[in-house]
Amino acid sequence: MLLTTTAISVDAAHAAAAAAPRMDPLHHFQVVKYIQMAPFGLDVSISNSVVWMWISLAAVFFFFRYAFRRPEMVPGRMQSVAEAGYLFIRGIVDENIGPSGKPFFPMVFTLFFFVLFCNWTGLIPGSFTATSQLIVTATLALGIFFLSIFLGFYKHGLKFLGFFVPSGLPVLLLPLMVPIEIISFLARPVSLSVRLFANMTAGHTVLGVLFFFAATLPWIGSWLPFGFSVVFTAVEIFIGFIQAYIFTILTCVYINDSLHLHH
Amino acid sequence: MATDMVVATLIGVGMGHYLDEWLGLHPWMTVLFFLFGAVAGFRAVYRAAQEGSSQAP
Repeated sequence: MLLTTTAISVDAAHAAAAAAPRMDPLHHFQVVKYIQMAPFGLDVSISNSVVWMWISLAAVFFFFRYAFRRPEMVPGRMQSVAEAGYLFIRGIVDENIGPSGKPFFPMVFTLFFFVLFCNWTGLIPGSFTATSQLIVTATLALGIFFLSIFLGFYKHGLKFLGFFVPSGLPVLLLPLMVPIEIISFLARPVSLSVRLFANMTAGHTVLGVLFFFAATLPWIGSWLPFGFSVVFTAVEIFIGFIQAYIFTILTCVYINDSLHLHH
Repeated sequence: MATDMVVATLIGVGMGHYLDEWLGLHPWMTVLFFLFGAVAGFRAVYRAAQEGSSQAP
């Protein structure tokens, strides 16, 4: 008799454990392939990451189309926001590259708004944060890295290798300094991509944990994580902006280093 | 800036490891390039601090 009751209660416990909400704050980083495609062995499947990058790009496009639908001398609300964004990026480019940075303005502008909107659309419940995938940020960062190498050799030829030799050092120290310079140069794309990816992943994981507690705790305890999750969503909007800003500034700094060859 | 230090050190260790495999000098190149990487990481932080202080009024 005792045995059967315990058996039932163990079964009940298993059933309860299976039915209980399971905390899985990393669930929303899962890449789901909607359409499988791999022509010539190259995986170009349409995943939720790709779809949310498209949505971000469309959001940027339609935001600027809407803001400048009827451009006026005295800008309206949306137009002033768009103009402020334009002037903001122009200030970054002018400050970090100078007059020779003009040809790079469209690229930097696109990069900033793409990263910013990827960060922000990721905050919509049920969405996917494209910038929380290391491969996405690494692709952006490697593109900038190879662009800076190409620019350096294009502008300066083999003199670009002098970038790895700090000026004003005794020759005796060069065997020490050149490997250090090479390592810091190679570290650039890695730290650029890891910074954005880690910030997005960490922030969204914290949000996931907080929302889980807010949803599953009894009402007496749930108001605290709920309040925190509201505050942290605001913080996450701010972090999304700051990380896009840092990404853009560092892009400008790297382009400037290749163009002007000084530290 | 913490990322810079970690990444520079890791890249130094990685370079040293592959140099060791190539030259057969285990573990000396790894040790040497670990130190180079650590110095590169500290230099990145130092440079960032300097830039910050020169922009401050």
